[in-house]
Amino acid sequence: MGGMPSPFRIGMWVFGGLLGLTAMEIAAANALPRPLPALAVLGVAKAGLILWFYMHLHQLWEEEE
Amino acid sequence: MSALREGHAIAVPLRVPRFGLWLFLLSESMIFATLLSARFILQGTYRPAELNQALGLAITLILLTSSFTANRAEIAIAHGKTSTFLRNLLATIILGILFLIGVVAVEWPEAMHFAPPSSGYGTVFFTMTGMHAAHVFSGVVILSLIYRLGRRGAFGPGRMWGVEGAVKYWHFVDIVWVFFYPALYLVR
Amino acid sequence: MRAFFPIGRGLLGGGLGYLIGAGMIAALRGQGLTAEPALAVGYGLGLIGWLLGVGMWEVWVREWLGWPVHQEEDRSWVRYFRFTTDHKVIGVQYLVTFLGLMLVAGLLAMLMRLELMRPGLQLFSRNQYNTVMSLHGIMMIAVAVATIVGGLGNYLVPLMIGARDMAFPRLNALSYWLVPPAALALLSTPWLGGFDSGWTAYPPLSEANASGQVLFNLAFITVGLSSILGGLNFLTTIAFLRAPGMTWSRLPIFVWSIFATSILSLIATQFVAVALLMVLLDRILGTGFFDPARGGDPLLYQHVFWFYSHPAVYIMIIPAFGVILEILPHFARKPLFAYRWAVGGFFGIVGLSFLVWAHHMFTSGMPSWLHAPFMATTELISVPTGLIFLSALGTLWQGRLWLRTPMLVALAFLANFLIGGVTGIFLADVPTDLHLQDTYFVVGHFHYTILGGMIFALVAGLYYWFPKISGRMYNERLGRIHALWFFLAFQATFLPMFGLGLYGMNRRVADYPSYLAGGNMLVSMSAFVLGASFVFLIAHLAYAWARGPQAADNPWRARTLEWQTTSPPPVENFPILPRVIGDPYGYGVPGSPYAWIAVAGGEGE
Repeated sequence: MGGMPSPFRIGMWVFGGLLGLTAMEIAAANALPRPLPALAVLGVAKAGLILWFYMHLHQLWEEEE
Repeated sequence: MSALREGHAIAVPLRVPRFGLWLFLLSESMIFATLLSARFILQGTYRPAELNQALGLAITLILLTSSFTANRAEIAIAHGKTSTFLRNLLATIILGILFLIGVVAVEWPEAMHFAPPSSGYGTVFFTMTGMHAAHVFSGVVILSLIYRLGRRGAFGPGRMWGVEGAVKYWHFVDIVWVFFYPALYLVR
Repeated sequence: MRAFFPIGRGLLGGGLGYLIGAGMIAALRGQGLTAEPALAVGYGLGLIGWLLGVGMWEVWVREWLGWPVHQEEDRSWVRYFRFTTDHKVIGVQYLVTFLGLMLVAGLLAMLMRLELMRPGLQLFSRNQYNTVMSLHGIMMIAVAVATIVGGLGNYLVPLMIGARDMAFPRLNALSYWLVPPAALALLSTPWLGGFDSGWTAYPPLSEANASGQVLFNLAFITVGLSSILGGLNFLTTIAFLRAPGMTWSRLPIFVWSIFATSILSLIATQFVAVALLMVLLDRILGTGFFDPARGGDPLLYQHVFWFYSHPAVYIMIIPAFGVILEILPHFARKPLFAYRWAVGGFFGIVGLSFLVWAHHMFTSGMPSWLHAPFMATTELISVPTGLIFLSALGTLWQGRLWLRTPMLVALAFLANFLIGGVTGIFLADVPTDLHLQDTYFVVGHFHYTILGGMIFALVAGLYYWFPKISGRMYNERLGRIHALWFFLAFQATFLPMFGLGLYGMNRRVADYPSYLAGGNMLVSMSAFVLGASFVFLIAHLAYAWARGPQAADNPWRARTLEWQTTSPPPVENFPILPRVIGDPYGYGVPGSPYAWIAVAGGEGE
């Protein structure tokens, strides 16, 4: 595992983050009386992770490599 | 003219198709934003208790995992590791098909009992999952075409726009579900 | 005959697709081939079959399978009947198709005026009248959305920014070839009972009427898709393919107008597609989006629909402003006044257009606390519009007006749009709108903005760019006669409508009380004269294209890039890409060149 190039590792951390956020969503849905605001924030966070790390949104304003 | 056109196509930097794809995704996201708003406008935060929570969580995890493998496939081909690329791409396609089976073959027949399309919740439930499933299906078709091209050695470092575009589309479909899952299964 | 081979193959593919799709559903559900579910699925597969047959298969899809693509490089007239990727060919395809549609829809308007000439029912039953009215409406909406953007925009934007083609040439061809099946679907609705719900297709009527409604919705969605793809293409082209030195502040104003419009069509069109899709689902799958008995809300449709369709009127009018602001400096021989403010006006309209939709719904029964905010935002939109209008007036101010046909029509545009804009205020104000809603006052208002605005701009643009597109010159005397004829007939047709509306003439009805007979007779008579002016225009331009004298490369002595190449331009537009060094509208400004163009070794302004 240690020899993996770092992009693979970032992908894994992001995946872990997505799973964690999903767990928090389920916890929020079961614990809070009105979970909608919390769910909205968690959803935006998940979408942000995917947009930034998986879809490389930053490429749009970076110079071409 | 042909040579000129082709030369033009090759000389175009990658940021041009990239920008076009982002615009397309922005436009597509309006469809899903409308459906999401319609769900809250028509049904508030109502959700039937009969929804199969285990299944909802399972297909969500399947789709998240497929984004993970799609990301690995993209990185692999950027580093020239064709076999890792193909393996991860195939995993993504299989996970996509599993998701479709979960929604269309398992969840829909169950939901027909407690929220048929002619009911209030069924209206938004079937339309949202249906529109999303149609996009997942198109994504599976696109990834399969990429897989076929990849096996013929069409991609490698520096010539992988097809992979990048298809994977971006796939992540986009995943993001839609990131919002649809809580809106359909978790809100109260 | 070889020329029509791709179209024939497309029709075959479309027919096969329809039969497979509709047949499958018909067999599954035990219904006929034109039952609504069969119709919808058949249309979808038929559309795919048409596109593959007409040329997408060998130009594009083969590439997805890893096979070589074949693109025939035919330089004869045959290329106009193919899946050609040259933006100039596509521009002409758009222009000809939509001018044809405009004539058909205009003919429908003549039929409506024939019916309305006298009180009582003469020509049609009430349902037939409403189908004719709806067809006229939706076809003219398509003409208004696509003719300037798709026709003039496709032809001119790459030329004006000094590019060789659009960013995505094949996508461009696809946008065009989505149009014919939609037109065919619309024109075949009368055989399915027509659709009597107008171009707005409000439920509950649109969920209870004849099956023609299904084809209407599908056709509208198809044209919407074409508009979205076109917008995407323009935005990318303008963002990335500008010639060296063509900074954002050196863009011709028409290019800016297309840019602003493209943002609207890219983002807003999806909403109407979803609204129409929801109607289809309600009809076909029995969902309950707009049926209160099934948990739905008919007002939701109006909100989603106008969330697109109000921005859509700016999709129609912003390019029209672009054409007019483009023409005025060239014929006033003066720099464009307040260029930056006009561009700001475009973007002000784009932003505000998303905040005004519910002013179409003051009488719909929506919550009354929404009235004041929407009235305020609607009136606010006159500020950016005013900036654009003042830019036009400032350009004329103390200019040396060169009154050729394009300029005459452009001046007529300003007069028409003024009336259209001022009458709009009465419709934006809630107290007056409550009385004017659904009367001929509204009909007069939007014909002043769309026909008097957008179509006048289109005609001005057609005259202005005709020598560039065709390489021939139209007849100036006939052009001036037409400009005057067009303007006067237009006023005589639509000015009385305001009065009719004030006196209580309802829109979308085949009959009216007999005290309105005089005004309606006047409107009908003028409308026939107006209709004839369009036939005259098309005949004149068609004749000039075939027989007119050879046009110079730059007959208007204009500075913008499209005039610095040959008429018509070569396939690659410019043998060597121009380098832009100055202001596009620096007329009369000493020592202000616009661009260096290498023509056969020489350098010139």
